[in-house]
Amino acid sequence: MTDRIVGARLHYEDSQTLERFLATGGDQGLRKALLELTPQEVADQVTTANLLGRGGAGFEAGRKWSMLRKAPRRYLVINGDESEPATFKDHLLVENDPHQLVEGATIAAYAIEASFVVIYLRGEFALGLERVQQAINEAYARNALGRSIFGSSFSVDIVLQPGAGAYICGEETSLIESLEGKRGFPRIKPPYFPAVIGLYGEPTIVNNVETVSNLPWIVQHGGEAFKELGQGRSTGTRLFALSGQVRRPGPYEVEMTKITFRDLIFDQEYGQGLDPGRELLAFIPGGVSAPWFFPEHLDIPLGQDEVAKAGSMLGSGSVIVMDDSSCPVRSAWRIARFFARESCGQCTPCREGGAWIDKILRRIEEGEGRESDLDLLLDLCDNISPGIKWPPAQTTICVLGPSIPPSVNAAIQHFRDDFLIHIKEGRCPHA
Amino acid sequence: MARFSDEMLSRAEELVALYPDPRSATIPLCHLAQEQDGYVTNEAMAHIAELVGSTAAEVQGTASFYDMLKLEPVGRYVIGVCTNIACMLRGAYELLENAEEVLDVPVGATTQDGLFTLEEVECIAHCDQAPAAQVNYRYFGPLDRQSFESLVSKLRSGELNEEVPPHGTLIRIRREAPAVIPMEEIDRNRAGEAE
Amino acid sequence: MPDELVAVTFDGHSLQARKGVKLIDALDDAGINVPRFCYHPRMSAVGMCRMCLVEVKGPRGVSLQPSCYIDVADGMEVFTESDAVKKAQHGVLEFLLANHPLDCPVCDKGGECPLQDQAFAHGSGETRFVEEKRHYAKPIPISRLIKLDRERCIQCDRCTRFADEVAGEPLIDFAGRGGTLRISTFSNVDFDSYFSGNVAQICPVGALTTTPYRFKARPWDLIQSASTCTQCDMGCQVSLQSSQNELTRMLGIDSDAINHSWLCDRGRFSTSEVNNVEHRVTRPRLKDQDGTVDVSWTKALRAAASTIKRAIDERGASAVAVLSGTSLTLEDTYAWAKLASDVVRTNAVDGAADVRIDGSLLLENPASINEALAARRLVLFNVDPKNELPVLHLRLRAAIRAGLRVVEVNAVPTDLTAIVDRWIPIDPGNLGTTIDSVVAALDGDLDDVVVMAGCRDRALGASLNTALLGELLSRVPRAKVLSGIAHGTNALAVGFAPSAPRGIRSISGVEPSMNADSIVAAALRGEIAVLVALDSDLMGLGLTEDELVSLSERTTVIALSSFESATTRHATIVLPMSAFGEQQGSTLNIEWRHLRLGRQVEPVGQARSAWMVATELASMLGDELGFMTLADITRELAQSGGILSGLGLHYFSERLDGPLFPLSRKEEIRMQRVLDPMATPGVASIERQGANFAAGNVVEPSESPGFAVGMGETPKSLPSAKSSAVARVIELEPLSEGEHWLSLVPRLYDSSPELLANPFLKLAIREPVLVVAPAVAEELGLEDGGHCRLVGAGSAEVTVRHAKDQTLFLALHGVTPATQQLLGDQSWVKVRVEKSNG
Ligand SMILES: Cc1cc2nc3c(=O)[nH]c(=O)nc-3n(C[C@H](O)[C@H](O)[C@H](O)COP(=O)(O)O)c2cc1C
Ligand code: SF4
Ligand code: FES
Repeated sequence: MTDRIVGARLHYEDSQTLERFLATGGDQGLRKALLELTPQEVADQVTTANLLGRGGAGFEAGRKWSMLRKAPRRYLVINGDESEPATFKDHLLVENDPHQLVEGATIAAYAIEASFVVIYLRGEFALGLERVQQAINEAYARNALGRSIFGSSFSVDIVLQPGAGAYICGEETSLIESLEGKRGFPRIKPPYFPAVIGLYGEPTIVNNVETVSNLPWIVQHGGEAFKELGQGRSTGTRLFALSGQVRRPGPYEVEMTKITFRDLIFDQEYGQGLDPGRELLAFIPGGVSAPWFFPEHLDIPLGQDEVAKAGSMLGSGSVIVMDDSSCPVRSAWRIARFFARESCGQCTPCREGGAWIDKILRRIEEGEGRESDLDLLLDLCDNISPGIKWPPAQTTICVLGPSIPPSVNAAIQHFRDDFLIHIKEGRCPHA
Repeated sequence: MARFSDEMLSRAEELVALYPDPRSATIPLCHLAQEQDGYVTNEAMAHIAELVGSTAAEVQGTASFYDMLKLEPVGRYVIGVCTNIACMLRGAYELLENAEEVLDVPVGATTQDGLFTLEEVECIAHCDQAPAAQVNYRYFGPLDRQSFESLVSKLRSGELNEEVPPHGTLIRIRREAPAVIPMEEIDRNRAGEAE
Repeated sequence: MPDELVAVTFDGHSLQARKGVKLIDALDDAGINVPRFCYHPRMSAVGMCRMCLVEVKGPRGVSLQPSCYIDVADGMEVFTESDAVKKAQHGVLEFLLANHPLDCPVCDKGGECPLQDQAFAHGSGETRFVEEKRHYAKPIPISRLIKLDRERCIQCDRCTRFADEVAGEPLIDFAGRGGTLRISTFSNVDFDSYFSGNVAQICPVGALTTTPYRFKARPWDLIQSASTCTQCDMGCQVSLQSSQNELTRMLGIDSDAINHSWLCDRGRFSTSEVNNVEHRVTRPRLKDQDGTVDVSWTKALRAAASTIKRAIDERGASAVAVLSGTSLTLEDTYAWAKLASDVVRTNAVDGAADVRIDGSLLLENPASINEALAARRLVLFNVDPKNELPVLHLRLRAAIRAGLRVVEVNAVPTDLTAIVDRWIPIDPGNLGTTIDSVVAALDGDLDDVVVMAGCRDRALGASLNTALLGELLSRVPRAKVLSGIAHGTNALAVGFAPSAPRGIRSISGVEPSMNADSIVAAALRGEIAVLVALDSDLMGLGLTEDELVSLSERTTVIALSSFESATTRHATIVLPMSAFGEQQGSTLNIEWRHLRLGRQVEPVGQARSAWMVATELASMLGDELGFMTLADITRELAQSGGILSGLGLHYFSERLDGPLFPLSRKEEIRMQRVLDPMATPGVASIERQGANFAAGNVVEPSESPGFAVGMGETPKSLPSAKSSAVARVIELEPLSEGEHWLSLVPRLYDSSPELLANPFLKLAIREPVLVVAPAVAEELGLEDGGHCRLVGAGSAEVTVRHAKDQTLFLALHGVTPATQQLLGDQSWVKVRVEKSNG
């Protein structure tokens, strides 16, 4: 694990404690921001850093902040709902460096002049919730939160909100609905950004946990220093979550674009390759919404645009590895099933289409498929996401629906024979 | 005892006071009710509706959307085995079968002694420890049959009481900070600064 | 203000569209129909069903967008016929049908179901869905009136949006998520709402159905006509439907001026009482020493005429009194008014017993409903729209959401109080400052004020109510007035009540001067020889049944009635009257708008229209009213010189709802949709079916161009009401020891013969409830849920409920014969409280 920015403290056993935090540069960024910089100057540093959002969409944080509608009251919401399958970086950060998160959130609040901040954590993160609440309590106790923080004129409250188990609440407008006490139905667009109409109808910034965890470092070292890491639009480091059939799954903070997927999966420093005798079947570069990659994509560097150019996305930074002992039909089914279970149910194509695709794939997996099912699957995918292209077109409100087709399509296009063996012989060639 | 007890009510009121709009406390209050009774009872939903100013139908609408909020009784420990892709690739379905055997209940059911409810859950963000499981939202992994058995027996014996509180776990989370700053004060400060 | 237009290109045609409307509406205007399920023009767009996708050209090329959700914009280029659009729509339709049961032949919605229509028109005919469909328990009652079949639901959010957004009663909501998303009420709690029927009307499939209509008819068997609901004077526009000479269903029509397609359940399900023959008076009958016998109309009328004649001859015209209920048509009311004043020449006439306010104040500077809702300030004076004019409550809620500022003046809060700007209590202990507070609440903004004035609180006497309103209007001299009286507008308009505006009558003869209370009192004293009860139950006027019996021994009661009641039980002569839906005619609503009534079925038994009975009685009394047809009456009213000058039925050929009277009033007419084309596509629109308004009844075949700008004569100027109203409010005599002020407020479901005749709605009738402030309750030792006896002019046993907040009064909710007995002719009713032994 490379400890660089957000993960700098993680190698300490007691990284979650206030003592360790303060002993390793804690509060420095916040003090500098509040006592030496104006909100605009903080925002400018972030713009210079070209910090891309770490929640999945990869939108520049500085640009997002600048879109905030002018209004007397503004809100900041930190998205810690992390439920994208195989994504576990925020889990790590909230449990093991909660003070950094609170500090980062406070800096962001200062930069956008927010009146009220909510940290929305996935409800299942029981330990993380305990620790972040403790960090918040301790921050109030030392006046790193509350009225006139550190003697500055800046005051702000942070409230910790637990989710209650619904993947869709990671989508920012759904999260806001949930935060307003409702079911997590994503809001229809336009408006395209909560920065225009967000929480309680007021302009609101939603930023991911990892995104704001970078802020203490950026304020301390300057946006330029951050930008020097990585290259092009992909600056700084990212916490990649490596999982699946590699020998050493785990979170790895690496400088963006400086290593390739081959490095991440096979290098001793990172994944250490596959089990002996196994071949790489496929891997997913950025969470299960992303189109799959295959061995020929191994040398693509871990950079936002590089991956996009190859037809997929870096998304939430989770890399899932499948070796040749796994069944692509089963993987595609399990991913489709996830989306079917997690659809909020508003849009007909997602609600009905997701459930339908789940049922067909399961039928094929269980040996009850028909050859015509393959065209049917692709056509249903096309009705959710016309053209099944990347980035996706959509017939739905949010992109959960259009996240269903990529895996189904990738599996059918690349592993058609596997499907046909399931269908014709009623068995799995990988079993 | 299904409306909030006096002690829980004061916790509930603390929570409501945190937000500019009381309805924002709906989900936290559902968690609270669940910790009191093991699940979110109808009476609790009606009480929550009174506290946040919505109708019971709306509270039910919200609560029933979320997997963590149970509207029917469940065991003291809800064991969720993750079978999503990362765990599946590392043997989650085998673990789930083992869990069914060890607990002697099918997925979705509660053991006769009311101690365990077994669930199959979606990714819990513990993928580097796959196959993983959660018990009342405390995470364990990687698990095989043996380690699962020993986890269950530790839970039975009470050895993990500190680590895994019964019936949900959010009760331990309590804001100790002073009362919230009135937002008008913050708005005013900012307006003052701008001048 | 004419709509601003923008240039758009729809399917290659350059067109103009109204700026700011939803694209789907602009496409509708252009005659391009995009299929849809969730969109409803009177609710906010949610874009859930995804059926209305069209392609819109944007900066990054063409993309699919929900036309129901995006606003039309200048330069917008839209494609509705492209392959991509067709494929997407086809896909959504297939998804919707995947889990939808194929039970159209047994579904109540079959034949008028847009899902069925779409499937026919665009479906592929064969299903690719071979999996097991979703299963739910089949229709479950979510209230006495509504049943839910979850398997048919397409999750369009229309019913839930209605309950939350329109009615403000989110008692049905989605539960679950994704594939299990379903409609639900809270466990065991009914969807108990005055407005529940609307959800069945707007449900685009057969998921929500009404218990009264279930399996009653198939859409293709229905015949329909446009009519007006007469349950209150809101005047909601309806499509009245029947099958085999029985009323089957009433649906709200989307009149922009009035009801925006909504109905309340009281109105919607009123057809069930008309059909309930057991409770209907079906034949004329006479009571003599041997009991009651059915007789012919001729014999009954002859008997009526001779008693009336004898009474006039022996005791003078004033010994003949006419009390009228409020369900008479305008024509009925006019015929009886003329009979009473010109033939009988009695002053003992009251056709608006509930109107305890000087009608002159209501007509001097009248506002329409839309004007009231668009005013800068609206004052609600002693009205409770939800219980008195229910659909107005919905309109008000929508207007308040959109920014209308309302000052409410009431003795007891209403269901609007929580969302109005200011609530000013009417405090009997401190009356003098009430109007000061109201004026202060207007913040000096006195230029564009509408006062909606009513007489909700029965404990407030007519003189006090009028004095308060008079003072308010003199302090806000440019205010317009919207009448807030729930019943009796027809009677006020033709001068058939002592509360009618002065000077509007042109019928020669005697003006009414005794009101219902004094008539009843006189009858009890034996001073009335003949009392004609026109669809009016005397029990509703505060009589006990014993008093009614003794009254009917000394007075000949002639009851002309649609429904059986205590009055018909004790009357000497009983005449069957046709009911709603059984007769042609017209009526006026609170804004003095002329509205049509359709005849959809034959009257039951031998029932006749009240106006016909009046003409026949007149001729038996040796006189003539001068009309043979409804058209004659219309013509006479048109030439009367009263506010109805210029009246005519030709207006109805241009729009469903008619013009505002007096005709000099200006009004901008908006487009209206007849029936929501989405929820009822199979039912032909009213326009296509024709209005069913028999040609012979139309006075002048459509020759007038329109009615936007002052048509017809302005009525001769009326004497100013304000100047004659009491300028300053009287101080009430203070309470003596043990006395309390009482407030008596009506509820929508208060017992009346019609409601008791309704097999579905009678179950909603509740006992009156006395709401008391906790402190008062403690002082009097009244337990929550306990009982007590109130003693005023009479006495009544009531149930007690503790109020959440302090209230000034003993607030009695529920007007029944028993609670009416508490009222006397004081300015404000006082009562004593006795603990009851019960
Ligand atoms: C279906 C769906 C799920 C999402 N889940 C998450 C999540 O768990 N965490 C997260 O930070 N962002 C998630 N997002 C992205 C958010 O909508 C949003 O873009 C992000 O929180 C913005 O933060 P950032 O700009 O700092 O990345 C999700 C988006 C979608 C469409
Ligand atoms: S695409 Fe799916 S998850 Fe997203 S809003 Fe629509 S139904 Fe909900
Ligand atoms: S999405 Fe537009 S009508 Fe339903």
